[in-house]
Amino acid sequence: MSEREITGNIFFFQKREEKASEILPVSETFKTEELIVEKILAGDKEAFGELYKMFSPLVHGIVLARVPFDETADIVQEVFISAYKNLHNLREPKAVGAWLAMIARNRANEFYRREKPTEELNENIRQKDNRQNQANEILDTIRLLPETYSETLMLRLVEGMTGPEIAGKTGLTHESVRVNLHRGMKLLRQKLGIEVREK
Amino acid sequence: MKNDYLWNKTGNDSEIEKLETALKQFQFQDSALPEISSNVVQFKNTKTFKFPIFRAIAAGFIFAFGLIVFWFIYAGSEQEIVQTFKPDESAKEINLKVENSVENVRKVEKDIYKNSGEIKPEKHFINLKAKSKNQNRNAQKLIYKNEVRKTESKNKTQFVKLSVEEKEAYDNLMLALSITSSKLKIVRDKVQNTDEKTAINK
Repeated sequence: MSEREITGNIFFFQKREEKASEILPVSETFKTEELIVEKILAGDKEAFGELYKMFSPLVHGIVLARVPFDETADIVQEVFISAYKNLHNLREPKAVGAWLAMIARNRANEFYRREKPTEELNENIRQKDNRQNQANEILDTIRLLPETYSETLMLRLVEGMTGPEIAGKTGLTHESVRVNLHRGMKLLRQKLGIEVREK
Repeated sequence: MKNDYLWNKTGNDSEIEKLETALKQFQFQDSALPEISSNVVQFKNTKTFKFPIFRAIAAGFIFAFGLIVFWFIYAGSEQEIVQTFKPDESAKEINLKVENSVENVRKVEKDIYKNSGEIKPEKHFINLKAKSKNQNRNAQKLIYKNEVRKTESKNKTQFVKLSVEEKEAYDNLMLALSITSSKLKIVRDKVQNTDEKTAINK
């Protein structure tokens, strides 16, 4: 066996180990999610607090990808109230993250149905604070990306979640999250770069 | 290494770090748990008919269904009655049988008179026949009433509507039976008399 082949094998097994280490905590989180859901259904309010702590960043990130920042807090609260009321309809407690994400998406879309879209005056008001203005621009640019990319980038860049965490909570595969992150980041770089050149 | 930082925050990527610091202000602030009342009323889907026309249609369907069911039950009971009172033979056949039985009775009567050597009392026979006719009618009525009572007591719901031919056949049968019974009575009396006479002669 040549040296190249041996190093190739070593890399292969290293990657497998990395993958295994990434997957194990996710399965554990599934178990905790199941337990939490069971506790809530049994009438434990503290368990609902745990669920809120666990998934509120996820819900916030998803809502932020669609709705202005000022409205996100209210929508997040609405999402969790609605989840509490309808938790008995959840078929698989394992999929509580994906289920919450779906409720968050629906609520965010509802926001535009009930509220007439208004033009934001933030740009003029925030002229003085350049840093905040820049942050708003980046946020708006992320929102302009396709939904799948903007959601994952919001969770990664704003909520500070890692790739495996995003996959574990949304129910997506590691591969699809990785693809969304890289493609989304590529698009974001392009868009931000174009804007910079124009300026 | 850049890719790893994007994926699991290992290594360094200044560009992404800058973005993170810029966007940190939008990060979720740990807020209070939403207030949930202890009596969360579960939403129950109580769908009702939107238009009263649907109710009317539904009521119509139910009524029609009820009528069909009633018709089936009624038809079934009628069939049962027909089965219980089903005549084995037709009215004509019954008439023929009655006629044959009357002829047979007459033959038997003639034979008895021939054997005994006595003359057949025609007038007496006619009177008797007339009397027996009246008696027969009364008896017929009584029999008919008894039959009706019996059938009514068996099943009050049973009611038979006889056709004209069937009624005629029934009347004829009753008449023939009454005639035969009266004739047989006469014959029996005659036989008894002859027996007495022969005993005296001896």
